[in-house]
Amino acid sequence: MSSAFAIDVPADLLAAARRGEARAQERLYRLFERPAYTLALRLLADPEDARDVLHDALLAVFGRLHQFRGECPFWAWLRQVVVNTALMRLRRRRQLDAREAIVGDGDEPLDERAPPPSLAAEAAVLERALARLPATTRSVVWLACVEGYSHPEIAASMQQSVSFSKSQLARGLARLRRMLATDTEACHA
Amino acid sequence: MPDPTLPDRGDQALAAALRALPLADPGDQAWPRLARQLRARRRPLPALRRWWPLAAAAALALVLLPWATTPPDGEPGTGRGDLEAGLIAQSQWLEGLLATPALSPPERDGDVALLELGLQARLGGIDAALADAGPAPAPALWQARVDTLAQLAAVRLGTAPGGAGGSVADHRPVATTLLWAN
Repeated sequence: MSSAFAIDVPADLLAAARRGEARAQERLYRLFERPAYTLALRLLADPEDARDVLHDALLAVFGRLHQFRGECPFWAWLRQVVVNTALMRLRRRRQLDAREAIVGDGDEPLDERAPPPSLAAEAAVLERALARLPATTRSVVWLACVEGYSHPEIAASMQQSVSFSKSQLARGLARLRRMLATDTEACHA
Repeated sequence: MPDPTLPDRGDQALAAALRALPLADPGDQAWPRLARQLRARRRPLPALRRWWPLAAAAALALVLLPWATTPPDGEPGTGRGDLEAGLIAQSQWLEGLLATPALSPPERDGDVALLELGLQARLGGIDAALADAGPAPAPALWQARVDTLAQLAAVRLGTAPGGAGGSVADHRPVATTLLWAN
């Protein structure tokens, strides 16, 4: 599984950005703007919030470049900053909206899974279905399925348990499949 | 490659479909906004460090110039009260200038520190004389106070990091002359 973030950054570009050179900073930004924005958009399902996260996360990255020690690839470090920034925004949003829910026990009849839909030409349907998942569930699904996070990594990022991550992934995917089956039927009716 | 976290083949297909979604574009306003903020972060300190001594020197020159060309008793038609008020304003402005971090007292030994101490002692003497004078007009004392503060600023300006002047040795004769001229 390869994340869209997995871009190798030349050491001299990183060094120039660390020195505060504007052109190097822009080149770095251009490399990661779409993966970072997409990740934020999938977690938050709101373009305006996602743009704010892109802004805040990249500002934090450029401000803390001197702290990057190269113990992991730069892209993984940057991605974690984006994830943290987006999750922090989600937590704030949840504090404002107590109705925000997760997919809980009993919400999904796991033994009655919908069949996997034919998704090749259904990107728009899939995006809509994903956006309809509760934010926390959607975040777990995206981080696990697209970014390749392990359950312990998701649990640490979301300040939850590993079993929470596992159950949210299973139930989120089940709900997604049901929504897709319904939406696809509606499209083809 | 099968995903070990997703044993179900349907889930694997769904995960593959999620990964295949196109990347979203944040639009063309995201970078200009970020660049503006990065520029704002980048500029102040280096610019301040580089230009502060010159700006301070220019400001100091503006203060010193009028009083250098104005007789102590003032222009004809200028009352002593106006002159004193002007001197008090200059004195306050110079004190504000000396209180800025860029013109904080130099942590140096030798002649510059001695000069600083001498000027501070003179300032103390003038302040004591002003206190003794009470509410009575004392333009000569205020003039002396402005002179001393200006000399203090000039000394600190010359020794500030990245300051307008050269080495301490370069400033010693000028500074010593300033100190003992009055």
